[in-house]
Amino acid sequence: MAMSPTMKPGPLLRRVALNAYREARFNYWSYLFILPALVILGAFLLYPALYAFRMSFYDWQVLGESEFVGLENYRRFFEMPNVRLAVQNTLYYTAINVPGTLFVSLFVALLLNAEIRARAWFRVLFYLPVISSDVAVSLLWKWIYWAGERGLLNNLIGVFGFPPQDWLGDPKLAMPAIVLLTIWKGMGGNMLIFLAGLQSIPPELYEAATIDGAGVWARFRHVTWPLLRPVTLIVLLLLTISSLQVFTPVFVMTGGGPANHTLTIAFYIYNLAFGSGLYGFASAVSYLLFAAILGITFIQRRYFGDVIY
Amino acid sequence: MSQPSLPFYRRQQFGAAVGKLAVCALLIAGALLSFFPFAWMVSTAFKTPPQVLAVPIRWLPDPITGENFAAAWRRFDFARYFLNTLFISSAVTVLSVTICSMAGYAFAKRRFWGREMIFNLLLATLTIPGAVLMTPLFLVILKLGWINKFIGIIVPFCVSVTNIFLMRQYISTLPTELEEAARIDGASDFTIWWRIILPLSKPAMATLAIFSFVGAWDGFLWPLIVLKDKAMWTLNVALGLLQQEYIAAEGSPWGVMMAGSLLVVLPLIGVFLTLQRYFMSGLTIGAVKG
Repeated sequence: MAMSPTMKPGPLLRRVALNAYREARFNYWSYLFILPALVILGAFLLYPALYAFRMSFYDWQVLGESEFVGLENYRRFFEMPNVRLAVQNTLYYTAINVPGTLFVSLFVALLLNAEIRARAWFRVLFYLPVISSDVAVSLLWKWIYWAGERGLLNNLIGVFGFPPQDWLGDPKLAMPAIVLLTIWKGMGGNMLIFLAGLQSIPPELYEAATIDGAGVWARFRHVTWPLLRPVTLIVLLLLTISSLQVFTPVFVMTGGGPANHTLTIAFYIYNLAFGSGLYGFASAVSYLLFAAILGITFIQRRYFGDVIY
Repeated sequence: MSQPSLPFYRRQQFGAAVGKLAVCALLIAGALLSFFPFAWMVSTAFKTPPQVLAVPIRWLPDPITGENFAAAWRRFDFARYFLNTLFISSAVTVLSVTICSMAGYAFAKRRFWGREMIFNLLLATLTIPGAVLMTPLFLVILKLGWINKFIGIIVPFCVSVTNIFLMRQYISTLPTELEEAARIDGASDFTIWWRIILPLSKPAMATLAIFSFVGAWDGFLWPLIVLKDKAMWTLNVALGLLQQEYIAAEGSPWGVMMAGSLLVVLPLIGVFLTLQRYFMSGLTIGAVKG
């Protein structure tokens, strides 16, 4: 607390009162500084999140009377035919996208961590897909995956003698095709997080390991991997959370097709609320997703240790 | 370490050189993979419709045409969508930088009752997935009468906890002496923030501005939900919805679609290339302490 050095010694009560007044004035500014942020986050983040919880127990109507239905929406979750598909598809997507992106970005980060002259240029190139808009790159890849002989990917595999595929129209290929796009797009950002982590590992450790006769693999296994653990956890968490909510590539590339084989939970919630007007049920599904995300976060933390900001 | 008795291929320097060469080769391959979809986007955007459909495919358009851009700009009204997007992103950026630097300053430097509690509560909200907000936030916006209005996109997303956190981390590294000196000189709290904290935190503000701008420019789900009126669309909404319509109607409108995509992506790449210094530093301000 800043006190004016010329302050006169007065009666104790007056001094205490003055201090309290100054503190209050100081505080009042502190609260003013955080007020706009709190108002906006409260109104558009916290309140809606709680509101959704309430909605999940109602047959919610935008116009007219909403009816309290108790756990009906949650019970329906286990009965609606598409829910199961959406959950399966989302888990499938997450199960390949998370390890795929994680290992590709770690691998590239390890390569870039070597002493290379054009490092900055490589970093920029790998980062280009990250800043590009989801819609634009999804559209681009939809064109790359185009069925028949006009598609770029079909042309490329044709060089090696493979027949053209209907990448986004084939139930078996559609989801892996979407994953390939998201690995391509997500790799650069995670690579930079890994790179920051790699650069905080003291080089003496590698020197010591080399003197002890450790090869490339042993150095990775016993120095890099254990020391990178907190960073790996962050990447793992961020990737899992975003994978469980994948929406845009599905919307642009397949619309959930073929035959619902790429219907994900986020896309399903969007359809429930804005296609069918089932706001209450949509809220119940989103709360179950929320619970799943919290659960997975908790398990991953338990397993990998704490997140360090 | 020199080992003159060994043949050249078993010496350590040789091993290191081969390793480096392999690393470079892999990196170049990776960079090409990361770049070549964009090359296809550019190539398609400059092709005439028959060239787009030509088999076998050709990478270099001949003749090069700008028609796709003209068509996107006028016939598909991308000029309007471009301005809409620019307006929304700029407004979000200004609000975000102002509000988050104020809050970041308070959380970093000031002592007040409930500071830790409020900050931890904010951090806890980071776990709320966007998918949970989709439905109730729509109803909030509906009640406020903000459907089909830019304000419905700008205000709900102009503050992010991550950005407040970023500003707090940066401002807490600034020396407190300056602030105290100014206070002794009789500067008001607002003056201290405006005249001392803001000028000193320019690098963090630049980073935050770029992230906010790019984030708002990239936004899709929320504008899709709020902006129903065609005249209010953003570039991403226009691309996402028009492509369905035109693929259904024309089969392969890829020249125009890729031109439209380039219009979305180019400003982002431009911002990124000119300001990449701030991008890279932003990722390490308080991001990871390994």
